[in-house]
Amino acid sequence: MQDFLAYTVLGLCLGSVYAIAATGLVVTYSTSGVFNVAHGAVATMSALVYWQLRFGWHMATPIALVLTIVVFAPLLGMFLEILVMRGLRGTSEVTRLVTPVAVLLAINGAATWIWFRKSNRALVPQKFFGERHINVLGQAVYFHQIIGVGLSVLIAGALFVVLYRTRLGVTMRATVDDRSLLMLNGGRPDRASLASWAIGAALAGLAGVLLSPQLGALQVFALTLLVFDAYPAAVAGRLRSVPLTYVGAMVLGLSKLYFDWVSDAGQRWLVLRNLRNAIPAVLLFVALLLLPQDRLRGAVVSRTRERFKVPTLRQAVLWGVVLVACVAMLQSLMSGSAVISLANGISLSLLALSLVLLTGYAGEINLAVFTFAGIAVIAAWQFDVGPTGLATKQSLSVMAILLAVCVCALVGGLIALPALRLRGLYLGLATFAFGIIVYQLVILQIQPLHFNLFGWKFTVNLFSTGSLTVPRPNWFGIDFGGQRAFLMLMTVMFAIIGVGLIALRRSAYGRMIVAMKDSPAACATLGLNITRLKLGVFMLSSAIAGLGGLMWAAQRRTLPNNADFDGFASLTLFMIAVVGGIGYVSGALIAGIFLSLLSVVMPNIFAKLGSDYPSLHWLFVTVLGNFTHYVGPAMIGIGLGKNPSGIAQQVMDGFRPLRKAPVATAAWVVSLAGLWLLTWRGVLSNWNFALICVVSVFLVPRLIMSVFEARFADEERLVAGEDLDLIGLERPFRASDRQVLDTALGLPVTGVPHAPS
Amino acid sequence: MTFGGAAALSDVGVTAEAGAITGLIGPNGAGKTTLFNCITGLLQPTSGEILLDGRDISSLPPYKRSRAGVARTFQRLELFTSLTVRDNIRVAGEIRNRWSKTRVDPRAETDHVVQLLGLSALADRDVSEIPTGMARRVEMGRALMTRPKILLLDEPASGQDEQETEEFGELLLHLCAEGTAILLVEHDVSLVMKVCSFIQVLDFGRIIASGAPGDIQSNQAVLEAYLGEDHRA
Amino acid sequence: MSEPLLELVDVRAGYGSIEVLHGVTLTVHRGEVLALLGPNGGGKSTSLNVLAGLVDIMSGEVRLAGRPVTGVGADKLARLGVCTIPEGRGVFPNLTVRENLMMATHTGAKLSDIEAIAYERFPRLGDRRSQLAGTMSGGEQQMLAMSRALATNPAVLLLDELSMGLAPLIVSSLYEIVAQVAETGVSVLVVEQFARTVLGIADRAAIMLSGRITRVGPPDEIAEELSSAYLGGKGQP
Repeated sequence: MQDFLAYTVLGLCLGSVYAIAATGLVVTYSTSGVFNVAHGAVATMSALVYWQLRFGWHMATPIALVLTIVVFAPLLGMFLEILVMRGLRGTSEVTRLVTPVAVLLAINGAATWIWFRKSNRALVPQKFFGERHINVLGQAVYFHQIIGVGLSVLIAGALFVVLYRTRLGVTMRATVDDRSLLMLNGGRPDRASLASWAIGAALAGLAGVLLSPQLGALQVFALTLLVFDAYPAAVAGRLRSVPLTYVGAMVLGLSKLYFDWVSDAGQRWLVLRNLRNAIPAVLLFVALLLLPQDRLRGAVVSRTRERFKVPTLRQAVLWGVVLVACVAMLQSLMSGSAVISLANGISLSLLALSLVLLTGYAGEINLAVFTFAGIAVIAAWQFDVGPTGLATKQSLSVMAILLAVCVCALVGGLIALPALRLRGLYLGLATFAFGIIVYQLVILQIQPLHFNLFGWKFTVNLFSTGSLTVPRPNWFGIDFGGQRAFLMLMTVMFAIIGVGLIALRRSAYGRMIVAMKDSPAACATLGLNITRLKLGVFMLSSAIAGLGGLMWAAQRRTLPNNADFDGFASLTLFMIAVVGGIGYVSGALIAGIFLSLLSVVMPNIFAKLGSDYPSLHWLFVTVLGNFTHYVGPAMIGIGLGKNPSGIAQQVMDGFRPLRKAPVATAAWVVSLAGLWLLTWRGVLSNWNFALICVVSVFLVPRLIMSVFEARFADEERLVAGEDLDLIGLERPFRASDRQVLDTALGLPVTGVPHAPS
Repeated sequence: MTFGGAAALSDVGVTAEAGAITGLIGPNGAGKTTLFNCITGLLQPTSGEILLDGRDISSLPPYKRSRAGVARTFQRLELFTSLTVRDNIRVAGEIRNRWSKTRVDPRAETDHVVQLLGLSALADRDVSEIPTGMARRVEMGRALMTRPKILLLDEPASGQDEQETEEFGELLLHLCAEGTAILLVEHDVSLVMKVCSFIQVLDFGRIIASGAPGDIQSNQAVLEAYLGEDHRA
Repeated sequence: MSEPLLELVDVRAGYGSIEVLHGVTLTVHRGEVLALLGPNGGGKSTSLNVLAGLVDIMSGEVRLAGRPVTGVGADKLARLGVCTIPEGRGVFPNLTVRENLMMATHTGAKLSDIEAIAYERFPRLGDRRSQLAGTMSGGEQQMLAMSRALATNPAVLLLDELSMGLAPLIVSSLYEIVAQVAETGVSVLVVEQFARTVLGIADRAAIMLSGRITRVGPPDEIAEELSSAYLGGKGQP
């Protein structure tokens, strides 16, 4: 009993700190409408800044604390609001989820770059007042924890007063209710948002500083995950209610400590020892499922900025062939390491294809793509290799792939369950929580699991050896073990699945999926069983993720259990896929290549430039190389708000002029092919070939555009007799249109009333 | 039929007969759209029942009610904005094919409906680009593809001009002559008076009058509650 | 009466790349009630939103009391005395009545004074001061919006479809208040579907079609044109 009470006290102490972290989220969300996924990163950055000031530069604790919590964190929050969050108005839920994800990755990347670039430094955080503590019922309660409880209570009171009793607070809440109405009332929503982001970030910073001593040494992603643990509390408060958030935080703190109590601090039930780390994710999942169900929604935003066009099947097949041919031609010129980079990219593209179906077409979200890769690998590995523990087979068999794909589809059906109730952000969180749960309980499971089913005893090894070896296929007498052959296999797979997806999108089923995304309510009133359709889409998408995941693992050959399963890799892939153009198969291709390019290839190029030009080494290697490596992918994601339809769309728009000038386009393609031949024969160097390709890709469409501009303009001239209401919808309204309009309305027609824009 | 805590509708009894157009009028906010949501299952009424051909469909989910023969349009348009006009209509036929025993050729059926609604010129445009009046016709076309027993139309004429409304009225009469029951919520009172055989007036969630168009036009309570002081104009 | 207070001069405006107003010139004089009428989609609300500062214009000019205010934000315009009640959503649904009224204190007025005036004008609001505005009836919400608007002592009042979703009795009592306010020298621009209700209190009226002003004149003349020009069988019987 005494133990129980003591653990209760400790649980409440932990809960208090979670409450601070979760309240920060609630303040930002309830006053600016953005769920700040980057909250954890702000906390991480603040904890590191505090460490630097307090222990790196030996400032006094109060000064370091004030500089961190009152100066640094709020400034960071305001900076994010101005630079990033303002661009998100009028974008879809997916974009509003992805951009903060990008911010998270950028901040964490920057933190890694600043503090952990060199070797493995150990930044050891310390509690306030060191190890001083009092004894409560036989358990040590540190001064640090007592301070946390005190601050937590103080913050709860202060927030109540600010949000409900001051004009600023009411303005902050009014901003979410109706931004334009607030402006019509002389309110300044921009200032209110700034204030709410400053407060939210300050709370994140405080939580980061308070939580960090739980880690023996500061680590960027571990710290971020530590703050993620507080998210279920915010969800318990439905992201709006501060009191409920506090209740949720206490439940969270208590469940962790009670688990410690019953499991004897992890000494009992070794198989379940990772459960403690999974508790917050489990609670998050449960809290999300218990949220009141959305009414069957109608169209959310009548006109979001994202628009996706669908190619015809013939175009798709043509582009598939072009892709395979291009990769084949390119790889013949490329060095071994470049081929590996390209193959890495294509393997990620295969994974990203599952998101094109799920998110691009159906508007659903899955932030645990790599989890499916992990599940697929485990399933295939169990089948192919069995319990012997060593990879004895030389080939990834088709049966193993089929099994893995089926298992993934079934698990996909499982995570479709929350999707039936949740959407947007909440669905994203649920899938993320699912990923964490699988990571902690399955993938980190190095204990062999012994089962005894009705006397049938068997043992399952998951990641018992800490890593799995995945062989590459050897089918139809072709050995795909070599990198170039495997690259081609994956490219062909990508092309086939890609064409399949486009065929699906153009089929009746595809139209239903898109219709469901646009308006579930309308679909239901047309007789569509949305539950079944969603289930189907999730299963199919998960199956693709499973196949892609297997290829990705086979590309890596050996898969350690800490590889990319902790959630952040899935976040990154999702983000880059959206940036690439989530509604397009080509978007997935761009995403995979980009991811591989930015983290490896670009830094390598800068390293080469640095060694070529030693005087500029600092610029190329220290600044540009590190920048592209650590924060490059994230920076691209942050730019998404400006171009929510993604890169694929931009590329297509850029190449549109080519269609109207087929001869010039053909000439360009033929000359590129000729150059390839010259390079292949060794006449032209690879570098020059690459340079010419890249430059011509940017230049040729513009050249063609400028040459044929006059002709294109002619074709767009107003067609007589057009419906008046439709003028100006497909192309800009012109002065001549106004004359037509005025004549029809019986108004006197005045010369040219305004200059054409 | 009552709904939620604050009763948007209370004790409303509405009947629509096959082969006839029933008008439902009343000021904005009188509860007309709420009623449609209850009939189609998007909202659950706290009490009351909905009978279709004498069969109680109150406990069915929305998609099953649609399959039973209820179709509707939305006042705040619920079009599939990623699809063209034609595909918006076609997908409704394709959904129908998934459950109905009588299969149709969605393509041919779509062409027919597009023609019927006068949408041919707009068929290959994105629905987000067409004027509201035409968008309402697309919603109606989509509803027709389910071959409903009863069609609930929520302000289908708003956004259509005088001539278009005229044609639209003809179309409604043509449809009901084929045996479809139509429940029409509409602001354009002259259209309602022209096409409806029976009219019910809803105000503050209650039926305040019902009868033939002629009776409604001379009903004093209706004139005061709905048409306002300027009813003589 | 003749002094122009708020003017649109050959304004083109729209959403994104789509132009809705194709050169609109419109003047609201000091102390007058101007009714802007026309079918849906003609650009009435867009014009009002341009005047309120919510929609940026592509070309032309917006003037307030003779000074150009083109490109000035809605919040700044509100502080300069342009008060708007937008269509169908004049209140913050998740704030209480009292908090809604608090949003009018940017003029420096005390909340207690604003509350006193509002509750005197609409006693029903006084009973509900701690209730969330979104849970009140449409009429009460519009009363609240009106109280808040008047509490700022505006120079111009822009009203968009005040009658939407309201019983005629409430509509006419709201417009009575509008007429009273206009008596005190406040200029009012009304966009309204219940054309005849507004024409009763308007000093002038304008018709808008396809993004152009086609007619401006005294209410009785416009009333005749309305029925022949576009209402025909539509709107009011």
